[in-house]
Amino acid sequence: MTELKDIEGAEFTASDDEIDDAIEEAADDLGMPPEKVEEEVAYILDSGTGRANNEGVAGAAASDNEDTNNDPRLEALEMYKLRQEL
Amino acid sequence: MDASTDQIKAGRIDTDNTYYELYQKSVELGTWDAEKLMHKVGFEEDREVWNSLDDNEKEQWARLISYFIDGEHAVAQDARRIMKTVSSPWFDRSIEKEMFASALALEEAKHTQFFDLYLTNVMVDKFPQYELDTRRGGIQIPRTEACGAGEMFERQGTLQAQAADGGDPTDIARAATNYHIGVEGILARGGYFAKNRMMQEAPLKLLNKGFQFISTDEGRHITFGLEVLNELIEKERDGVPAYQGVENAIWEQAVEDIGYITDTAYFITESVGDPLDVDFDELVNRGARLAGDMMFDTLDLDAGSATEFMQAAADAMEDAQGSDYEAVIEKYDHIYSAKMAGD
Amino acid sequence: MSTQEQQFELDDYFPTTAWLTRYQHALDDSQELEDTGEGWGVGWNGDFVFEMLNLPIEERTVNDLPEEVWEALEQGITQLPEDTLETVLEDAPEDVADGIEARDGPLPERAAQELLETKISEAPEKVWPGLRRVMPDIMDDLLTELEENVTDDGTVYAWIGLEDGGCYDTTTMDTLDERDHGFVLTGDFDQWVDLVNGDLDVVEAIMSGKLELDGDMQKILQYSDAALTMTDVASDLDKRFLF
Repeated sequence: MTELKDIEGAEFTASDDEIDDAIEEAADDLGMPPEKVEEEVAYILDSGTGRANNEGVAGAAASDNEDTNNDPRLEALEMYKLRQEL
Repeated sequence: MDASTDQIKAGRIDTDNTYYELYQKSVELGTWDAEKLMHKVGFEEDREVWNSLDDNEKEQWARLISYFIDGEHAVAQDARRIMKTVSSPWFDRSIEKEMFASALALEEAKHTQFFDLYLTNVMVDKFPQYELDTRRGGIQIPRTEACGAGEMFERQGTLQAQAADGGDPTDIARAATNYHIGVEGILARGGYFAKNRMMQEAPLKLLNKGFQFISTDEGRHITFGLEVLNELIEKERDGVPAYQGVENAIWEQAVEDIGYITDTAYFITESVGDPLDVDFDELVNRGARLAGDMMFDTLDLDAGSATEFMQAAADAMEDAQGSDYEAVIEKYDHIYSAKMAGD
Repeated sequence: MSTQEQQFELDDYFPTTAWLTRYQHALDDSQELEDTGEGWGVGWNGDFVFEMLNLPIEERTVNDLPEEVWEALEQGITQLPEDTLETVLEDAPEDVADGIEARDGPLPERAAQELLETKISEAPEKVWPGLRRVMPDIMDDLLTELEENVTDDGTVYAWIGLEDGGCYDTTTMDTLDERDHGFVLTGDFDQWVDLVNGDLDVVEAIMSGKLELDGDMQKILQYSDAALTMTDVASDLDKRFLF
């Protein structure tokens, strides 16, 4: 499995610190270890390949969710948070 | 480390196996509840946007969603064959592939459910006929029947049956190429590209969320398919006699499928005037990149040439330009109506 | 014959405007392109821009250019009578003069080393008219090319006028939109080197993302054989790479 910040193949606009903060916050809300949340978000984007090839999530950031600053990793995190409610 | 990130020791299941990792991720990420998603996000905003669209814009969405619901349905039906194929003696008889294939079956059924619920509750004015499927009535939605996707899904059924019912490695390679590279890897991913563009003009929030979950599930299916194909290719490259011809079979199937896919790309864009600005050129470009990534980078295929592949797309495009899709849709509308009436 | 003994002209070097002109003639003379490109650009704009990104003008210095080019420069300087060299150096920009001064050894060697170790991106502005007069012609021409046809961020825009299986004009541009065009093929300079060497299939390069194509894909798909002919013609043409 690839580390979230090592994933290639997409334009990332958020800084590593912003990603860390967002992951920490989500992990806190979900009552999960941050490493697990990060792993799941990475897998949403790359399906284990190391490349952000999930266009259904990554490409959606542009129009669907302004809060994610158009960063596919933050969009994937939002999706994971929703997934935990389903 | 927290318990939830610890690997628990297993006995007969190989937890270091890639297929196990894919299975476990399906359990963690792929068990979302389509009905809960509908309740959580609600239909209201989508209905409002949908009702604000003009007929041509609705038609463009309808063309895209038709092939998604029929495609998801077709593979939900074929999933049992995939489970059978990966448990065949041509593989190592390990359980991890079957575990993942069982998750795939659940996910494809759920994707069908999502689109069925969405169509029924938001887009129904453009889908007076969508309740039948290929078993109950023997026909896909007229829009699906009118484009390459419909033909591709029918081909998928045949190829999956051939692979599952005593097929050899080249049959398995064809079926896996058609489904994991063609249907999921290019046709569906190209569809996500299109929906991203269309969402800019017509933001259907619930539909977008559904697509996000679906594309995440499909991403694992594609990784699985490419792993399976790589196993077959490796055996061919190792010189195992029964596996000879695998690369060639993958290539031939990919060339066949790109024709169906190009036709579908034209059907959902140029042929309807592209009111929501997908851009056929960029869609084809995206599809070519997706194909290139899988066939040249991941599988490192030696067989065939990129030009042959693109030429097949060019031929299909030329045919598409001469197609009267509306007439075909109308023809299938009549057939569908007759089937619905029980004739 | 070694490269030192062999003489090269400006149009031997890729990517230069002169080489592009030679490419234009080769395309126009190609019977294969006449066949595969018949109808291309008729009634629509078939002109191409080859956008070559990231030429290593910041990373490389003058002595990274082909051997025969920098050796000729070195010889030109070291063979000048010392008093002539001193006169030439009187007009040198201050940082060049300081750089020469800070080095050890005889003046001709110091002067040559200072110039050879200049970044290529800085070479045009560091070379003054007096030096240009005593420089080998090829170096002078190449500096003019760098000055006029490579952008500050290391991009070359090569414009290729194509119509009905022929090539009617070529040039280089300062910006992408300086001339009308129908298609843009974009990639890193390394990929262009592979392409014009015949080591990269253009269609495969587009499919694998090594090159990006902007333009009417329907036309490109219909004329993929012509695209291959264009790269075949480029790879058949003699060339020496500046980088």
